[in-house]
Amino acid sequence: MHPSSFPRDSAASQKGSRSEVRAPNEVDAELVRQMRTGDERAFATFYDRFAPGLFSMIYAIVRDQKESEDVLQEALVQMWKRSATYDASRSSLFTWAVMISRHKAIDHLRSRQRQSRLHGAVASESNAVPAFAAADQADNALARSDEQERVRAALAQLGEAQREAIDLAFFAGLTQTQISERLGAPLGTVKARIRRGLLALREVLGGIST
Amino acid sequence: MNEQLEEQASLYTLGLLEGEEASAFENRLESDAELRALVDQLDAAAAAVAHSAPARALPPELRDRVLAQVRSGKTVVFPRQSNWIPWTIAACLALTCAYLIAERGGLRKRITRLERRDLLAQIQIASLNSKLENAPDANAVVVWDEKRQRGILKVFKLPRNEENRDYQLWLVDPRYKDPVNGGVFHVANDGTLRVPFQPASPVRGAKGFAISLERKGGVTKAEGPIVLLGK
Repeated sequence: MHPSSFPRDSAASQKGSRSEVRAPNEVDAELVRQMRTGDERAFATFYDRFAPGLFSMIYAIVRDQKESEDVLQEALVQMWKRSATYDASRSSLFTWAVMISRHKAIDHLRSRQRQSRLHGAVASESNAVPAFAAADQADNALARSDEQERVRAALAQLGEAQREAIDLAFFAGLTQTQISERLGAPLGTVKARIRRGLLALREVLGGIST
Repeated sequence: MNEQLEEQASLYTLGLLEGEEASAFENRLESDAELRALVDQLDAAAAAVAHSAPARALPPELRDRVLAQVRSGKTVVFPRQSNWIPWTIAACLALTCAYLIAERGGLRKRITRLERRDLLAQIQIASLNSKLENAPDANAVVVWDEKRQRGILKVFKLPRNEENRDYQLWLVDPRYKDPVNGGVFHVANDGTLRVPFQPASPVRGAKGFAISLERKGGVTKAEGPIVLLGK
């Protein structure tokens, strides 16, 4: 499995039980409170904590160094300006940052695709996006947090078909129909795989911390 | 919770819900706390997928670039003040047009229903009407959530754009000299489209919305003709 440069996502491991009330991530909340006051040092801390991992994720989607830098910059500035929209009772700062960055990256990818020059390349790129378990090799020497290790293990527990469907949705930004065509599977099957995959991931991640 | 809702929540989390299905789901989401909680949990699960991206070195100079941009407070450059004038006029015209279209098209019913719901008080719905002589029936609806800084654009009967052009959405915010970029899109043969959007800069108190026809990939400031306009 590839090493990840994301920090530990404490809130993700707090989401185990559906009925469980998630404790807000105080570290996240405090950092965002400082950002909301315009504290640039707090933003620098935020950058150091999340930017490396976000960049890796954005690159896995956009597949272009310069464009990935631009997308990350745009996403980070948006997070700075919209830090007031972060709700610690609903998500971790990690989830919030990933969702905003992924949205930016997918938007960028789709905009680029509309320019048609990459129609052919998209297929090969999406085939090259990281597969959760298949690529799990050779990187063990690099430092990882226990949480990251466990998250990767959780991803590896998904069935191959579920991983593949989520992979195409998350990194390749394909629509339901495109995923169905790419996998050669009926649309209903693709939907079911995504549902089962995400629910399984939620359960596995939730079980880790208990 | 039934499997269909779980499936919709999973697809929604990954941005895969489209059209009426997405609208219906979002409506339900606003008033269903259990569903909202499920989506939050699935968001966290989906976000974990980011860990599987191969690590890639972050250019060290990017940190200074981002911090400098934050320090300067500049994200989008709007150098030409004169561009604001036609957009202001356009937005005023849109006031009248949008109301008439809402009445005629049955949107009034939807607006009334939405306005009754406290949770959706921050939702702004705008009707955009055609400026095209060759497609006078083209229209669009913008559902804009200022609090979340995101919206949904639904387009009807808009002519398919040429391969080398894109339609581009603009949000009129008086704080900016030029309208804020809401993203580019293209329409299929049937002239319909439903697409979520987020403006390039924060928008407060949107005074209007417009769609222009631009070169492929979009522009930072509107250059092409306005095809739909409204408030």
